[in-house]
Amino acid sequence: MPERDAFAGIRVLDLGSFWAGPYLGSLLGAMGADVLKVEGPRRVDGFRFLAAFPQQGSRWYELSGLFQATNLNKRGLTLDLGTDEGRAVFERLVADADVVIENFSPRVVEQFGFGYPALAALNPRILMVRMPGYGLEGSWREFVGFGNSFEYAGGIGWITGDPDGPPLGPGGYADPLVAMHGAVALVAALQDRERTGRGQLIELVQAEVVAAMTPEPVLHHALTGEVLGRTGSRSAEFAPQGVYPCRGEDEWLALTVRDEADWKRLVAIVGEPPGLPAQRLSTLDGRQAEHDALDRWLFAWTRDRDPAATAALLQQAGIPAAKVLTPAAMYGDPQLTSTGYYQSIEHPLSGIRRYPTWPFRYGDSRDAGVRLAHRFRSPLLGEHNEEILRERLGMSPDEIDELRRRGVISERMLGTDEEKDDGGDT
Amino acid sequence: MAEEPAEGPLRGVRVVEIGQDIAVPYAGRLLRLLGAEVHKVEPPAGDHLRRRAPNGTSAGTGGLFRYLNAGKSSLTVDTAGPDGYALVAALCADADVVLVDEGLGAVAGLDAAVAERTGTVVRLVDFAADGPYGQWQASDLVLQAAAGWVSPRGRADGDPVPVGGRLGEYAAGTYVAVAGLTGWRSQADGPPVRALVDRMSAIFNTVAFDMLRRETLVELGYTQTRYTAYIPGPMPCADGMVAVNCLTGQHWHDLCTLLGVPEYADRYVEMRYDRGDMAAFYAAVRPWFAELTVAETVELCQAFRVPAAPITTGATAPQLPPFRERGFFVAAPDGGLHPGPPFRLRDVPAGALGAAPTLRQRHADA
Repeated sequence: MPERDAFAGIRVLDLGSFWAGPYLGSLLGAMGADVLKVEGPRRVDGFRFLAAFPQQGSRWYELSGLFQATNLNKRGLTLDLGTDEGRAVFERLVADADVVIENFSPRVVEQFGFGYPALAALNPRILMVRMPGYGLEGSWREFVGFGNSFEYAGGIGWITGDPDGPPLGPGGYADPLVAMHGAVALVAALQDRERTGRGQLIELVQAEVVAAMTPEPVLHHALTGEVLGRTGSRSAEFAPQGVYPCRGEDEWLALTVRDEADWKRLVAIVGEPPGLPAQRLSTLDGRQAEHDALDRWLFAWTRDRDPAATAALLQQAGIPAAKVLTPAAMYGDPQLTSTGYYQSIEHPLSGIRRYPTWPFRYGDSRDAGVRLAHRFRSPLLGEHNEEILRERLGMSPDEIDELRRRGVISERMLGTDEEKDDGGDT
Repeated sequence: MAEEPAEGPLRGVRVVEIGQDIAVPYAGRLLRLLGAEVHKVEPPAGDHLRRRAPNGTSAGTGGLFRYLNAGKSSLTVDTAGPDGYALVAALCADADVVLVDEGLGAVAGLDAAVAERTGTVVRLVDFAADGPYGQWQASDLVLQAAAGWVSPRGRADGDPVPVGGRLGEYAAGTYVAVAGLTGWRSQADGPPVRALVDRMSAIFNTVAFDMLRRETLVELGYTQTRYTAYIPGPMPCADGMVAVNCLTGQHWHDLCTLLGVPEYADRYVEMRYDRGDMAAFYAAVRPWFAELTVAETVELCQAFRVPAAPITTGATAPQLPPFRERGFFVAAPDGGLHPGPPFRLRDVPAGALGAAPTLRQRHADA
């Protein structure tokens, strides 16, 4: 289907690490681009070290589910950009590429000599997507950070949590959202290139992306002088609204009473809350005023109930409610599984795993359509070195062996655990 | 009529957005920032976000509405009348991309069928209709709960809380924008594109692969398999709060060296995944943070390449050095302060968007 091939024919060099950069590369690959995952043989993508542990064996850096899930739809190439030979190979690849992605702190690619001006000199049509944490310029240019940091710096952490508790970072959701903003900007830049023939630099400052999605605290302060705080699960517009404990460990139910009609439906199921005047509870203001008491009443009702069955009961009556989805239940979630959200893909070292796909479906069907899927598994480190160097650059087996002998490319991580077998960061 | 950024890369692309509140208007904002012409369709009373305070100096139009809808034109339509639906259909027929909210932000009487002649149409629903939740009622909290966003946020003993600020709506809107633009790109010479995004799986798509992480942790016998956080997290300083989130053992090692607690330096896995005594750790390091300002703490941590960031509020965010130095927040016509574009195309920068449309302002073409 052509709508799933928006980036067919586009060649991408993905220098990304961890999540934001690589996730953009993975989406482009899922939509048809030829994406090369470029890692240093001594400086591999740091996501390889998350949720993977040295006790998993000498090639533990291949086993991270997080790394695999963000690097689907790519081929793998290693290149030591700290060497003249590695830089020369990269320059030849840039000359024939459409897009370069990187999300290091700015000095990293620049110290290799690959800032945008250098890439544009090699290929004026190149589109370089850079995702610095705090900007390519400015006094915080070299500051390190990850999604969690940007969520706090961008203002969403302060307004997440209970009113009487500490601010709590969402948990890194910024990364994939930065990637998706990158996809939007990239389509526009490709359009501009088709019109003008020139490439350009696309900068996505990760803290700015978060701040662009968190406008209310700054707006509110500018217009009223008040600092927005945390409201936990409550809402100014709906009451009661909350997250209530259910039977079992770590089982919770979320529900929202949007209006008086919802309230009547809830009372029809649960019964009248004892000791509270019915008339008062018929209005939003009244329910807000009694929210603590209503929470206690709902706690008492939910605590011995099954959350999924209770959510279904409330939904049947037309009240918004859902079981709180926990990590243990994610693979078994009925909505996700029945709508084909997970895709089973076999990896040569970790076997079959079920990976999240994408929230995009296509087709005329009112109900479903065909989901955008992954095209193929994530690569092993340097898995496609030979294929890429031979096909893209016409290198001979001897030339490729020489790069390998010099440590410019490798199919095993060099300099740390492969030699010492005790791992790096975890 | 809306102003057109002179150099926007999407100039000439016509977008119609049919949706209230945040998600679809945020998608429209992203396309508008890139130069597209965005026409907003509203119910007779206007997008309900217009009525949401605070308003600033613009009586009757909320500040958030103004942020999301700056630079768009607006058409208010009563679809109960004989001509309303036909008017929207005509507007859509002339558009390249139509974005339609059929869920929480729906405009009564309008769905994607109104855009049957448009090249690319993206529908946003709350839950995918072919699953057991297909007909479910939604709210921001309920969607977050169903999509894995309501959690203790890494606290081993905390109750689950949702993400603040209605971030899920911005997430959904971002995916809608991706679907709209990639659809438009692929359909240039091909058949029409009909795309569907559902809020639940858009939000879930941003979860940090907790299911994959848990699978490994359980397999290896670690005790903390429910939720994990990047330790140590928020720390009170002398004049505010700082967040320190160690993603790797190296970060943790360097932080422990900086804090003068080398006995913890090689215990990242234990502390994070395996019943490490974080209470004792916090007791040992709190005085270090309490004596320093936020700025001093961030500088010191960053000197050790440890990811530390201030926890900003609505009052302090605009003064954060990277935002201030880059002029990220800009004064709005109503006295508010708006975040700037989340992306910068260096050769075709976003122009000033101008004001949001007033109610009942009709696009001349319509």
